[in-house]
Amino acid sequence: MDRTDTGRAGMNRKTTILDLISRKLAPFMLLFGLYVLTYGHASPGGGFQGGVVIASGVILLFVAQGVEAAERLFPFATLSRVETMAFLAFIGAGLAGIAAGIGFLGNPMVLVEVSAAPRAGMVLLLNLVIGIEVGSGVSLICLRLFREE
Amino acid sequence: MTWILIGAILMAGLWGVVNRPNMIKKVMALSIANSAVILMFVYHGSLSGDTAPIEGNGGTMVDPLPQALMLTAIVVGVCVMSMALVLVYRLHRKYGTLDMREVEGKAWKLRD
Amino acid sequence: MVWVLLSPMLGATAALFGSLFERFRGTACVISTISLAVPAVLLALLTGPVMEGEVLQHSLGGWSPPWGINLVMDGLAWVSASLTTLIAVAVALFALDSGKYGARFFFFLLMMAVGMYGVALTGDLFTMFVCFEIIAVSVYVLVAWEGTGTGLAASLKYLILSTTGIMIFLFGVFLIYRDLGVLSISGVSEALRAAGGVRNTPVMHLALASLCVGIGVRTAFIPFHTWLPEAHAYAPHPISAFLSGAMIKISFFAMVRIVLEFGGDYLMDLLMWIGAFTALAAVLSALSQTDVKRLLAYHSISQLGYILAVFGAGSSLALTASFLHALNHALFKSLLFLTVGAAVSFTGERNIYRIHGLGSRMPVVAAAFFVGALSISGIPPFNGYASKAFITMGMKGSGAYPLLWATSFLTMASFIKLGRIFLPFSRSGAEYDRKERPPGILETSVVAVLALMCLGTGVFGSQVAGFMHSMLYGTELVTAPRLFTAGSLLKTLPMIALGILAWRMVLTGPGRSLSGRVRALAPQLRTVLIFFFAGLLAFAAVAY
Repeated sequence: MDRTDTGRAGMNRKTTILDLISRKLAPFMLLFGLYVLTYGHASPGGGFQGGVVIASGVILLFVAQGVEAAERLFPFATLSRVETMAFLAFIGAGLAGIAAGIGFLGNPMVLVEVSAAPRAGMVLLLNLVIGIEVGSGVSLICLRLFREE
Repeated sequence: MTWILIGAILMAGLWGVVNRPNMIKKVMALSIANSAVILMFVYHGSLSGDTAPIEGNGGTMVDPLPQALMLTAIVVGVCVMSMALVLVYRLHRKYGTLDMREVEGKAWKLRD
Repeated sequence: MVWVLLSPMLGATAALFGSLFERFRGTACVISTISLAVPAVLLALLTGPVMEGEVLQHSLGGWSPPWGINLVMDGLAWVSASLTTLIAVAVALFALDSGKYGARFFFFLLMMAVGMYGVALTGDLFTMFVCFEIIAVSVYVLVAWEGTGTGLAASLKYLILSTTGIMIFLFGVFLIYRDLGVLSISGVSEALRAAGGVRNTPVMHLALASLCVGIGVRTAFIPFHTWLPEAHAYAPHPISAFLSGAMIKISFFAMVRIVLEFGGDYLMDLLMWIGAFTALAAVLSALSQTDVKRLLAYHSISQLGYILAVFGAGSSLALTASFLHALNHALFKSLLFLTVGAAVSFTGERNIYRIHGLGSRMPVVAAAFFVGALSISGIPPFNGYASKAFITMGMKGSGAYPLLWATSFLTMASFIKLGRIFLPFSRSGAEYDRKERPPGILETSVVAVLALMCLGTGVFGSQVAGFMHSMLYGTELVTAPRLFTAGSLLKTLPMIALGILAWRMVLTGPGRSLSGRVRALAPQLRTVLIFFFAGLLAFAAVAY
């Protein structure tokens, strides 16, 4: 194998293996991330871990498919907007606790009938919000670095 | 034995921070040393039981507090490392070198 | 009470929103500044209960302490939170008016404030670690904000040093958790008392030393100070003021809390000598600088040495003196950084010998600068004089006092040197290529208000100290130095004479070559780190 094949010159060229595997793998990584997110209150996992798994799926797409292709799926502006909105939602969810009279980040669900709404509802909501925040944030960091090159 | 290994990881990290001129290696070494401290917490927590701290698992559960704390510490570590790599990247674009000594030599050139 | 933390966090959200949508940019900046001012009102409301010795507790989200985050508001927390508020509002107004900084800048500024309130209010060690890191990450971004090579390098240097430091802090937290099984500060304090004090638990010696070193990097005393000159000098001007005015104080207050609660009395002597040595060594470096902001940065280290030294003296009067000087230093140092920053951005020049005659260009700023310079030199009736009188009394009979005495006239000498840039006339009449407009109305009024506060806390020095003492201990201050008697006023005269003498000595040939040599002592990161670990080992050894 020629050395230039794997050197800098080859950086823009995709190999079939990478292309195929990343296409097949990335959706499952995203799905697994969502699973870790949504079951975080009952099993190991949670917002941050799920978010990072999602971000790693996105980053895999960036690395293997090239920034342009992946940006069609996850546009830069949307990602940063989503990140801000997730931060807002997190603060909002925290304020909901104050509105319910428990204090910041309190769980308003404890006031509701237990059979009507699962008590984990608040934790699940926070996990989802944190997951979106972390996922978009980590992908943004990497996207910034890739784009400037 | 495990403590000695963790100590070795910590020392390796600290040695790297001090002795490697390459900025990326310095950052990596910081990350390694940080993981050693995290390992200490988690290993100490794991001595107190034998199953994962999940509701309904039965058996003696390990102390969940160190794991929860270290998860936070890992998050913090990730933030710091990404920040450090961004700084290294931009310094590299500015000065065209990854050698901390050269970068410092160029940066602190005091204008008298 | 939780709103003290929440309000800047909401402001940060607004700022983030503003950075996303162009239309809201201006509004977002204003909202975030207002959200910084809200804690002032809340803290004022809490003054009464806290002064009566009540300790307010709040568990975030209703989770009880071992799992949840517990916020504690006592006198010390109140003082540190108020200091943060005071400086943060001034800095935010200054940044708002200069118009160079967008909404994103405000986001990081507010996150830094959130971290500081967190460190001040937290009830457990691990949350303190997290809040220190929140501060740190925002500071890294803000120091590198202008994107110049020096700013980036300063930020990376700070990052490496402070991450190493905070790792050692985390190691100390680990030792405490391993041996005591609790992390809340009051819980650790009780457990230690039950075990018969720190003396009986050798591992805790190491833990306490690690915690002190970890915070010491943020507090920047020798040998952990090496990041500070660059980080303060090359940051944007409001950030320099915020770092120097509030951040190093907040970490100092955290250290005070840890040392006092964990029974670290045996560390006091060590801290006193470190402080006195820091004060003298840093002022000598400051005297030799030609870069205006580096000069001020070295003075921050030096004044922090004062604060640390008098804390080490140990009595309740000494602690009050230390906190009074922390407050006064926050006021005059942020004033100095803001005025000198205005001069630097107006002229586009950082060398002390190339800026002249700004007194006629910006008279109010120049007057405010002179108030700050007189304060830091300890000239009556400004606040530096008041707190130095308290320090003299708190340190009475201690061996480290002569070092501080020498520091005070050297401080004066270096400010005579710096003061020339603001004199109303210039020798050469150089014209500047007017990089930026002169400071606006809001900027000018911020520095004017800070200058008035310097004067106010100076004239009413005893009352401020009495208030602080009753905040910290819940009792009236019994013995206090009388500030404005003829005898104590006369004592400043020889200081002034010595200060002028020292300034003339720096300007002579040998003085110049010596200061050039000191200036060239810019140690590399590797040396600094070796220095750092040697300091860590020495600290642990002495603490044993």
